[in-house]
Amino acid sequence: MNNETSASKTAESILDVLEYKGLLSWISSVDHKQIGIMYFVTSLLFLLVGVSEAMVMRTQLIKPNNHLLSPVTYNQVFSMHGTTMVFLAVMPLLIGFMIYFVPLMIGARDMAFPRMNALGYWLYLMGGLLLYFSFFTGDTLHMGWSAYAPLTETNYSMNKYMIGTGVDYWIIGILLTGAGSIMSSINILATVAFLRTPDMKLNLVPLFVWMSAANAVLILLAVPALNVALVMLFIDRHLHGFFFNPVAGGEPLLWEHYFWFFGHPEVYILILPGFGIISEVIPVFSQKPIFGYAFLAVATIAIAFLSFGVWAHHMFATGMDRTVYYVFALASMLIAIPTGVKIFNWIATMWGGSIKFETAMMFAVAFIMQFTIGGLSGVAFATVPIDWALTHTYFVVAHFHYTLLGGTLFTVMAGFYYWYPKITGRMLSEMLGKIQFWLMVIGFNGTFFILFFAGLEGMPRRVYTYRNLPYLANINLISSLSAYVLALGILLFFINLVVSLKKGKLAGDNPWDGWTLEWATTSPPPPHNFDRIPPVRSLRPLLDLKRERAGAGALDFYEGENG
Amino acid sequence: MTTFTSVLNPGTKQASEILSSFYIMLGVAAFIFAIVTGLTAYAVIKFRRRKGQAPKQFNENVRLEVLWIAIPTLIVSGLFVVAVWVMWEVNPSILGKKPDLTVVAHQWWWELHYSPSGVTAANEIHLPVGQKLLIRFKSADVIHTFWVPSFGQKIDVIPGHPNHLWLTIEHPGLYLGRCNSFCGLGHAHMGIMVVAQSPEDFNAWLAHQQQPAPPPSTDQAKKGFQVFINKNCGICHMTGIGPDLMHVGSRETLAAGTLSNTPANMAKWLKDPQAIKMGVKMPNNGLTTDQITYLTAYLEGLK
Repeated sequence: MNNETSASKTAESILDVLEYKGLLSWISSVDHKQIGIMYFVTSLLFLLVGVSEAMVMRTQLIKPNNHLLSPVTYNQVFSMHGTTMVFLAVMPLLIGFMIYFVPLMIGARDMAFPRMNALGYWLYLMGGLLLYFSFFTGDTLHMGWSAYAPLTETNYSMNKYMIGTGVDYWIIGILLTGAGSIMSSINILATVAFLRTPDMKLNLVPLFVWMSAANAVLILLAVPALNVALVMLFIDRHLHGFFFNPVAGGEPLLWEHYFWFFGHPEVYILILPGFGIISEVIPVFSQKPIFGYAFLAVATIAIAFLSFGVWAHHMFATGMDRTVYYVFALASMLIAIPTGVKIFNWIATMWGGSIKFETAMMFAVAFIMQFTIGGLSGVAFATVPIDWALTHTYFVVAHFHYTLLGGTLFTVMAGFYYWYPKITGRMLSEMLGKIQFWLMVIGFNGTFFILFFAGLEGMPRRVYTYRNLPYLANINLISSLSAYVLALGILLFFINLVVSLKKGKLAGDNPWDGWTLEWATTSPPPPHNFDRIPPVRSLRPLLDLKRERAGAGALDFYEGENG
Repeated sequence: MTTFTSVLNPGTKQASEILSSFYIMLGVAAFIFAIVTGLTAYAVIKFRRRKGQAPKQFNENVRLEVLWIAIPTLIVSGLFVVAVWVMWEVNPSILGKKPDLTVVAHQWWWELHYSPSGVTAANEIHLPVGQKLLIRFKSADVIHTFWVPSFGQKIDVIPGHPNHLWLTIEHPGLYLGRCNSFCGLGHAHMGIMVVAQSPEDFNAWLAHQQQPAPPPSTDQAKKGFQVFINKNCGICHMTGIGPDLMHVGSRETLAAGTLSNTPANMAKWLKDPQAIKMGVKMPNNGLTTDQITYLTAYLEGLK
């Protein structure tokens, strides 16, 4: 390809980049690539913490009436698992992808506001550290990641077993990371709006960038609702306010409304960039352009729009007015339509293609099927009476792990196998990757599919121990054993990341024959990103370049005029 | 007696209807999943990369797009109709009906008030089969959820927001459930037991509950009564802070389903409630072994 730009002066591996040497170059960095990498490293470490917490929980639940952990410990572990995974692991992982790749994919030199970019990261890191510091005070959040009032109020969170500081650290920690993500979202929006290479019209923007921009809008509108609620809770706890405390006329349901007004868009925040990754990976490994580009982009906007009108489906058991049920049930079901559009367009992209099963593509295909299960079980919850029967049970746990783990985490894996060569200049081991893939598919489905039945058989969420009701012992045993397999798969991923950094095959500029602009520069990209930006006349500028070089008619495996 | 523990084993008219809607949803989901998996599997096998292959670069088909927007729209419309239909069947308007039972949720037990009989009980809910019952729910502290899987609908119990459930129990039996919203340290030990009886049995139980328990007869029980008075147990147990103990000896379980009700378990509970149900309001009262024996005899005699 454009090898003339990757002259001998450029580094072959991220470890050799002169500008990135020394700790100070990282701490003081405003380079979106370095900040992106810092997001990756930090959030992957938090992911490891979250996985460990999950393993502690699955070990406790391996048999009924288990009293290995006290309720105090277990409640802290499940609360911190949820908080960590949502706020400190998955969301920043996705923001990392956005910050690293959006500028590269639109041919920009950096983000629109590089310093704010760095501030966003440091706020996130400090928020995460504060949250975990609460362990050293002897108390952490222990009422679940949704932190329902009035349990979080001082009169219910302080007793002889808990000093109540955990909630305060949680409030401040989440407020900081929230402020960080709002900064990132403003930055992404400004970057996409103003820093596209001049000939990249809106209909030529890669889908990952479309979905990142939609995601930024979601963050910008949803996270402030949570921040406001956190401040109100802080006022309740320390300034004798009574927003959520029924003891003095406060309204606990108000917290639920605030929380889910943030919380439901949040679950789309946790999946849209993943959709974007899939929309890049599938076409490249199928050697076909993305099918229904316009429909995918519009479906993304539809999902983002609808996601603000569905929050009350988390509250179907609270006994609301019937009209409220109708509106939120219908809106929640409507979201299935644009989501279905995406699934079918991805399949149509593979259809008639020439599919190469590298690890990234395998994760993408598994994602399609697992996310379908997650989405369909979600439609079940939109059907109000079914929600009445199954909400708050392990059926919910199974459902959202199918969307967030079988969905988002699988897209993140696809993203890493696809883009790690670009980030570091070296390939991840495909052999380790394939072993990891199968361990994760078997482990994940073994852990969570059976938990749908746990919910049906009467197992509630958030209990440190459960009665030996029929089937529950076997269900939980299978789930826990599978969880260890899943953890092994994730561990293998970390090993692969570390080992390949030095031992991986050199990647070259464009190891997958990708088409978008990030592949036009070297791997790793130089600090200024591009020596020269190819013209953008279609969704696949690098393919155009290749055709031009080869001369018309001399294409190796591409036919047809579209794309 | 049959024990009901599962959503798949409905015991009420309402639960059967909810389960039917679940099976409809399951059918739809299985159908869609089969299509997605089938197409993906076909694509993955058929279009694997082979040498000398040159994939056609098509990328649009508006007819197909309309098709896979229209069909899911029809499907979710159908599901919406099912949802509304079952909602009306399961949860019709109250229209001024008085509740047959009021349940007050506490951290971590259930206080029961039957009307019109005025009977007060705790944790063990007796209900007649074959009648359409209205049950009202209130919370004394935080948010709880009343969930008996075989009853179908669950309902959040929220301070300041009385809620209700309709139940038409069809089969006599023992129905097990739990609090289903995380409500603090004792959440895992906030069990529900419903004894569904024929109307005759239920009325007999109700009549018995209306009578005071027989006075202590044995020596030990009499001493136990003195311990109960001296240790001021009534400050909580006769004011609704703790469960009413009028007929505690006749109940199947202790501490909201945490222990089965045997003299040995009662003694264990009295010795150190915190060790069994961490966080429970009942403190360790520092009772001597003798006092525990007497108190156990007294309480177990409250049939």
